[in-house]
Parts: sequence; structure tokens; C-alpha cells
Amino acid sequence: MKRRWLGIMGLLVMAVVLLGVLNLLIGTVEIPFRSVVRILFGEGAEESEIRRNIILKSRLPQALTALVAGAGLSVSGLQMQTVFRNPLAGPSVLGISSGASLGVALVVLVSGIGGHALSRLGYVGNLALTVSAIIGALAVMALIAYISQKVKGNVTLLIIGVMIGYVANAVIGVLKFFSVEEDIRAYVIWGLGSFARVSGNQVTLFVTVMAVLLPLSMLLVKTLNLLLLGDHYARNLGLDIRRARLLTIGSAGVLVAIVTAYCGPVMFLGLAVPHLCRGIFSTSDHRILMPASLLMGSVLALFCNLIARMPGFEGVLPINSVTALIGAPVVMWVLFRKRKNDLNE
Amino acid sequence: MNRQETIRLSDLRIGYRVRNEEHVVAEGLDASISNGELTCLLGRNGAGKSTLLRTLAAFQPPLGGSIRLLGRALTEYSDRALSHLLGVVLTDKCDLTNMTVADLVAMGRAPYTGFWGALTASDRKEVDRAVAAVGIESLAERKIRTLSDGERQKAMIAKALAQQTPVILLDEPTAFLDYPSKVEIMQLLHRLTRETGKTIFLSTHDLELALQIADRIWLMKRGEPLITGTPEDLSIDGTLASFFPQKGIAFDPTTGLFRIRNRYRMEVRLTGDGLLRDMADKALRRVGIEPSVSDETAEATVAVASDRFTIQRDGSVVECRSIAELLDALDR
Repeated sequence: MKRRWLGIMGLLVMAVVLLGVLNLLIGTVEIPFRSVVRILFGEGAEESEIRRNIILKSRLPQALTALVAGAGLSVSGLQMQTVFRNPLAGPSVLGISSGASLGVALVVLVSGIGGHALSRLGYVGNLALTVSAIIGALAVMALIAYISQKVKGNVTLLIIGVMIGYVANAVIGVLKFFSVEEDIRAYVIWGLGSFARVSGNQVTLFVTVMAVLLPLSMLLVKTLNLLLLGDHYARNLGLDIRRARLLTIGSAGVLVAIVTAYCGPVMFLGLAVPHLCRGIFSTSDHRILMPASLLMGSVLALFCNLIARMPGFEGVLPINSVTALIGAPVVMWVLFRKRKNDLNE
Repeated sequence: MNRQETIRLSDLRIGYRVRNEEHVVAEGLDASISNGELTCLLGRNGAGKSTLLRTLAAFQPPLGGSIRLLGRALTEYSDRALSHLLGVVLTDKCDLTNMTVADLVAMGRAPYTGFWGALTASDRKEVDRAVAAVGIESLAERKIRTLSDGERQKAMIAKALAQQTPVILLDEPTAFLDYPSKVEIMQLLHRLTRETGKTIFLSTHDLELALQIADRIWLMKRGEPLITGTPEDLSIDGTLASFFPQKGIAFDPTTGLFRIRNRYRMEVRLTGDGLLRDMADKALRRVGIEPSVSDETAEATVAVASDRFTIQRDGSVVECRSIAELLDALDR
């Protein structure tokens, strides 16, 4: 590994730590640094109950959620872009986010039609939301993985994914039409995405699952590098293309499914971060790009979360507004740069 | 070097199968390819060159008949086993935006590297050797997208060399290259067959080059049997002349090459010798004047001397100092 790459990687790690600390420090309620440290290390007996609640039940879970969600979405975006050889592929493209949305919509809106507004069920309702999102996302992912074994072309698969997304959105539209306003509101809020909704117990589960899945997804680096050459070259170099596609789509799909279930559909991070990393590291080697995307994803998610929660924004800004404001310019920058490269060639 | 048969096609039928319906592109193919030789596959678009190449590379199964690679049926090999035997250079577009030449060539080591794809010292040596073999050492750290088409093709060939396979298949490696690059690539491949004893098989549209550089050529035409042989043998028995019957192209049996045939509007007698005569001959043909040695049907006589061309026509004599003047004078 080149020294420059190690250097940037080190900077990213430092940025993750720094932004993590800032996420704990900054908020509408001012809590001094020393108190934060004391609370974190369990010595906060003399600290007020309110402060302990803010740190342990709000800021820490949020920071951890942003950390792993950003990493998961970015790694998944990189895998999608490589396996589909499409710079605009992202977690939402294959209809997986839509699958999650459909799952949530079914539970929220149908329960409303049945007379039990889920929005009033509290904790049980929250859990039902998460489970239904995971089921919806994994169902679409299984469908896509199945189709990926049947069709040859990547573009065909991509289009089928987009179509599944449309169908899911259409069904959601129909459901909304028959639902009470209160439930639609609950669904819309879920759809805005948030790192703040994951509560105490669920955070432990979410972070643990992601801590297992993220290292597993790193195992695909050689496969991804070979996929860059295209199916024929990769196969000629001994890669089992079907298996490679299945594993990559499976890995990316599961990551998106779980993140979406807990945080709602978070846009742009998965699309923008891989491009950012390719630009910064100027390499196509996934042995660099995978850990780089993971770290950069965490950095950006923590940063976005910080902005969404800046003092002055009373309450919490929807995370999607913040990620889009940062993500969209990145995507545009990539497109302009690509155009310039094409001209040079 | 010991020439041995590395690939044998027996009654091979190639094409596509779509929903149990066979679309045969070519059938009854019988031929063999030997190591240490450059074999070129020629044929017009639609003859099935690419299909044959893809079938040989095991990207698609044969519809019938068999292909034997190094004594075993091609279909018996796993993809993994094949990756040690058969390297390819294709026309596929790759996503090589950020890849350097060294990165690309290192990909050729993938069948030998471990789980993470990390290169060992011996892998690196093999990459360096492949880069040196195609003469692109100075480009090793350049990004692929900054290379010219010819340089990129060399990098792809180096990738195939790094794969250390006894057989290399190339799909139109000279397409889209300028003429000097075409010659360079073909000579490079020919040299590699001699230096490494590899079996190199390629498809091409560059007839002239293939006839001059290939050890053996395969001629493929839709609905007709595959013809194979050295360019010279196929020239002697008239196969080449009849294979490309096309207006405006004539096979010249003395050189064994094709030349453009013009319709002549005038005939002149050309005398003299040496380079100047040859050049005058070429120029006259180009503008549609047939040079001949007899004066019976000729409308004029052009005498070539060391410093001038003399035209004699209808009793008048014109002297010209250059080919341009000569052509002008003849048209007057």
C-alpha cells in the first residue's frame, strides 16, 4: 500500500473519532466535555439525570447509528457500482429501498385500515416498523438475486430493479389513498430518514449486526477488482461470475436492507461516497476503496448528523435533506469530471 | 521448436441457443492450431469469427462437435483450470478509469494470487516480465485512460502474458489502431510465438497484414467449410483469389497480396527501369492509366530516365520533371 494512501486512511480514522466526539458534545443542550467523558465512563453519578439521558439515550445512539449506517450504505454503494459497472448505481437503484418502504407502508397503512393506527402503538409499533422494513427489503433483494442468476446482462438486471421500485411505489400510492391521515404522516416521517429514531435497545442490536456484516463485506475485494474488467475477462481469470454477482448483490442488499429498516431510506450517501473515494485515492483497487468508503461513509454520516442537529435547528432536520445537499453536488462534480475525461480521450 | 497441436476442432458447430432453438452460425468446422505459431482468423463481418473465438474461450458452449485443448475436451475444464491455460484479449470495454498499466497487468496474476489478491515477489517479477515483453516499461505507472489505443492494446496483451497461459486468444486486436500500431501489434504477437512457444490465435480484418505476418490463416465464410493453411499455399492454389471476390480488389499472385483494382481508361507504354519506373507505374495505375509493355494498343509512350519522364504522343514530345507534371501532361 502506498504511503499516501495510508496517510489519507489515517486522516479518515481521525475524522471519524473527531466527528464522533463532536456529535456527543454539540446539541441544543450544552454539556461540557468533562461531563460527557464522565458519563461515558459510568462515573457520572454526580451528573444530572437529564444530562445522562441526553448523552446515553440520545446522542450516543445517534452517533453510533450514523457511524455504522454511513459505512454500510457507502460500502453497499461501492459494491453496486462495481457489479453493475454503472457509476450511478446506488443502494436505492435496485428497488431494495423501495422494498423496505413497501414493507413499512404495508404495516403502517394496512394496520390503520384495520382500525389500529400503528402510530399510537409506541415501542411495539417501532419494532414492527423495523421488522417489516427488513422483510420488505430482503424480499426484493431475494427476487433480484434470483433474477440475477437468470438474466445475463447487467443492464437488464438494473432495469428490472428500477421497475420493481416503481411497482413498490405504485402499491404504496394505492395504500396511501385508502389510509387515514395520521398513518400517512407516520409513513412520511419514516420516509424522511433519520439517525435519531433508533432507540437504546435497538441500537445495540443494529450496531452488533452491522459490526458483523461490514467486515464480511470486505471479503469480496478480489472479486470486485476482477469484476472491473467485465464479465468475460473476469471469467477468463477464473472468477465464477454468477457466484460473484450473487455474493456482491447479496452483501450490498443485506447492508441496505438493515440500514434502511432502522434509519429509513437515506439518500445519496451510498451513491456519492464511492465517487468521492475514487477521486481522493485515485485508484480502482477495492483493497483501498472498500475500507476508504467505509470510513468516508462514517465521516459524512456523522457530519450530516451534526449539521442536522446544530443548535438553532430546533428539533432535528430530516437527514435526507442534509445528505442530499451534500451528496448532490458531489454527484454533479463527478459527472462534470467524467465529461472532461471523455473529451481528453 | 517442437510444434505440437494445442487446439483441435472436430466437426464443430457454433452458434446460439435461444429457448431450445439453435441459431447455427457455422458448422462442420475441422481444424487445428499449433504452438509456436501465429494463426489468424479472417472472414467478413457476420462470418462467425467472434462466435468461434468466444466458443474457443469457453464463454459459450459449442452446439455440437468438440474442441480439444491440450488433449482434453474444453468443456471438461473448470473456469479455474482454464484460467491457467487460456488467456484472452477482447474488444470488451472495461471500467478502467482509475487503473494503472501495472494494476491491469497484475490482474493477469489473479488465477495465482490468494484470497485478497495480494501479489507475491514472484508475481511482481512475472508482471514486470510481461510489461517488458510488450515494451511498455515506461508506461507502467500511467493510468489506462491516458494511453493511446495501441498502448492500451499492448497493456491488455501484457495482462494475458502475465497470466502465463500456453494459449492466448485475441479478438480483433488490431481494430481501431492506426497502421503503424497495427503492424507493431502483429509483429509483437508473432515474435511472442517464437520467443515463448505460445499458441496465439487472433481474428482480424487486416487482410494484408495477416497475409504477411501470420504463420497460418483460417478463412471463414458463411455457409462454406473452413479453409486453413499458410498464406503462401492458399495463394498458390488460388483459394485466396476466389475467397474475396469483390469489385475493386484484385489478388496479385506474384506478391501473394491484394491490391486495389482500378478501371483503366487509357493505356500507355512504359519503358525504363529502377525505382522511378516503379513509381511511375504506381502513379499511372492510381489515376486509371494502365501501363503496358507492348505498343500496339498504347496511346502514348512514357520513357523513364534518371532525371526526366519523356512522353511521346501523336508525334509530339513532352518532357516532365516530376510525377505530378507527368500526370498533368498525360491528361491534357
